[in-house]
Amino acid sequence: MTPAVSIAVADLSRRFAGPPDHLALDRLDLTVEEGEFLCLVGPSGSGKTTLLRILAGLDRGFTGKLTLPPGLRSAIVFQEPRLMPWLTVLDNLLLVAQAGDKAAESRARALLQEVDIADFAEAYPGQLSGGMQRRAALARALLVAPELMLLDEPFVSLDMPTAGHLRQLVTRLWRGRRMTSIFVTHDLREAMALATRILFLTRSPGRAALDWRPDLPPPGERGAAEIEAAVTALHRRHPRLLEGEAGS
Amino acid sequence: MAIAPGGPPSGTPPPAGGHLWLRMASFILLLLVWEGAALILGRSVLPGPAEVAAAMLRAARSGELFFNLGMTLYRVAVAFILAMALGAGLGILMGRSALADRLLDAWLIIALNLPALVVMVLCYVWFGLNDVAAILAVAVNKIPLVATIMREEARRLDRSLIEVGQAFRLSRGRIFLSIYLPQLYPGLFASARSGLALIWKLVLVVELLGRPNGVGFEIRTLFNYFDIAGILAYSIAFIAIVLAIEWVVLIPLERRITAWRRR
Repeated sequence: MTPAVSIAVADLSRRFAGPPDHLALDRLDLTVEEGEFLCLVGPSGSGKTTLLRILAGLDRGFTGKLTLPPGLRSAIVFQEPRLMPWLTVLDNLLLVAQAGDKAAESRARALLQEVDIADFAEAYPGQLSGGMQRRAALARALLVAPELMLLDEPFVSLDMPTAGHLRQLVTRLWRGRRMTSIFVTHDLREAMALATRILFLTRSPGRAALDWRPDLPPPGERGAAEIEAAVTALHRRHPRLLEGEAGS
Repeated sequence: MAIAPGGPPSGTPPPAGGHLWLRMASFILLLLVWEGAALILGRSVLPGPAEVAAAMLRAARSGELFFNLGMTLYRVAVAFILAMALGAGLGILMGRSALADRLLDAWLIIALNLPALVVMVLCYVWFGLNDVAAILAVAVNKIPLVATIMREEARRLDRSLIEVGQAFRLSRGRIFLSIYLPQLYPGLFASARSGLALIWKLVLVVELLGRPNGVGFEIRTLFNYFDIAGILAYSIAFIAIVLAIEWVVLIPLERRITAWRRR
């Protein structure tokens, strides 16, 4: 099947007016294929979040070309859960539903079941742990049945076991739906566990340093040892990759 | 007030009914102190609770009490709605737009410092001795106070929550009603509660200055006869109404809307 949903940026730049002026993205080209799980990896200031915000429609101050299929349903999970503290978890999900969507509530409850917080539907976000708030934010994003799922370092402030569980959840949700996903992280191990493709960005201003497809089993079937070996191998070939430099 | 998940509860009213007997005791003590003061000062200077109750009953029987309370309440209601709507609109505009803030800031400071009495007299001179002038004068006194509170609230809006609405492509109206407005509720309630207290006091003054009815007018008439029991009777009747609005409408509404803070 030829990809009908093609997401592409060409010659994309984003400059933030200073002082001092700051070029966050510098003539970036990227085509995202339908159904892939793309991780954006790069040092701080490499423009990962800026790119995600442009794709989400939150930043329109860029130059260059952005191609999104018309009527594309996209959803985002931010770095902080960003749930409305005055709404229950269920109402937080329903907030993003189409007005007049009568089936929204049953879909929302099913999603809360799927992310394992069904018992907290009537609770307020302030009563939830950080991990459960992330689960709610994931469920909210899934409520719009996204064709494009954007995730901006969603597990960065969580403890390791909780983040690990949530990564497995993200993989499970992606495998069940195959929505095109773009996941921003600075953690190579996280990217290696989740991604079908990893785009490494250079230090500011952000350009593509390396576009890489891990030679691993599909996400969810990768063992910890395989992930570790792939990380080590990549480090050996590109020792300064996480600082934004490809090549040895 | 900051709205943060799991933040400390702030500005929430204490639980109602919890200390009912304490409130009752406090009320009875107030009556006793009043009666004692009446005994010491003499009943012609300060009538006791019984005389005031009798005066209230007399005014109620003649129907004058309810007519005047009704007129005052009507002016309070219109001035209150006008001041809240215009003040909130102005404050939100100034909080969100730097241009509007710069343009209107000097006006706001002038309006805040205009003596209430000057506004009232000028309104009567310009618009005549009628209800439009009276209500306008009261509203104009309250609008800058509401605008000041709401400007601060609007400045403190959490942009990151509004971005959620934008990222999920909610309509502008939905974002305003479901994400914008709930963040402004604390300021709206603070304005409403302090507003009610200020507005009814101002309404009595405009009535005293230039209306032929209402509690303020009645107090001036009673003052001419040195009828202190009557003055106290009217004051207490109106305070009771304002407290009833506060307890029956404003506090329960606030408790419902801020329920999430207490969980």
